[in-house]
Amino acid sequence: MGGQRCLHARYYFHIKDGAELVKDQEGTELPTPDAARRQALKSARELWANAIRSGKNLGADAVIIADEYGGTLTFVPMNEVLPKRPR
Amino acid sequence: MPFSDSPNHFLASLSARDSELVRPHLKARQLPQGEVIYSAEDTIEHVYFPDTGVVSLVVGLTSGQFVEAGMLGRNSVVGAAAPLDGSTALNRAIVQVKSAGATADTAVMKRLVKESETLRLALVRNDQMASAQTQQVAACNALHELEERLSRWLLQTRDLVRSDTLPLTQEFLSQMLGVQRSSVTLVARKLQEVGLINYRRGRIHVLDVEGLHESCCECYAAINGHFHRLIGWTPDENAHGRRAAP
Repeated sequence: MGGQRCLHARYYFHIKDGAELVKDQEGTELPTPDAARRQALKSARELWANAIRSGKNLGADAVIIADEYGGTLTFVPMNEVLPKRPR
Repeated sequence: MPFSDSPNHFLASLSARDSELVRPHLKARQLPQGEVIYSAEDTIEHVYFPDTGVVSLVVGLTSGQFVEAGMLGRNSVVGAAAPLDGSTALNRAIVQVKSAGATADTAVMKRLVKESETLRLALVRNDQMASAQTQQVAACNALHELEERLSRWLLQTRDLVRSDTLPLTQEFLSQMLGVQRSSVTLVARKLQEVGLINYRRGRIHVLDVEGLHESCCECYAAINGHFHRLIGWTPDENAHGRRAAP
């Protein structure tokens, strides 16, 4: 829905939570691996925001980006997406 | 002959006289999932009376993001304000679950509401109901947690489709709720772990309705209260999960 998109590849955003992998069963079509990484960053930040707001467990260690063949492309650790503190 | 047998609550509630006014102008319509009935600022050419399916009213932003402000189905009318001189669309109406029903031309309905005060009032109440719902959803979106909002949303959708199987992708869900899909993934996992739903690619099965009632916010009951007060509609608890015998 909304806007014109260049549909190139389907990326899956799994969530690693300890030993568990919460699988993204649908994936999202995105134009570039870079767009997929930006998407993962946004997702990770929102997961933090939800957890902080609700005071509940984060339930995630990293957002894993996989391709449509199941191969892991890269991952975004939750600790790397927090805003930097001014020193 | 009244429409008392119509699956659409608005048509079923009309008096015999109003039914006779409206009936000759209805045309059967089927709408696939994803179809945009109208977009903001469009002129609403047709009023739609759904028998099945769900239509979401969504508000779009320049970023391309959308957030749902309410949903309508067999309980109501899409474009109720159009015959009441409100034919410029305020938001976008998009088919969330494929829908069948009937349409009537706005121009014709405009003429009919001049002939019948009761028909006009019925449309006014439906428009008020849509407005009451969007106000509740605005509060819900601003203040309630995703788990509560998702539970509310699943219950509302289930009431409209009269089935425990909801053909919804997480992509669509996340767009409706205005969140990233990963947020939906995690909340759906939680609801699944406690046995409230089962999620399979593109399909959500509601397993425990009582449990969903507990995990949702007050907004589900508040919205149903608006439905009841303004249009006399209550979701029929018994019909859920099984379809009425033919």
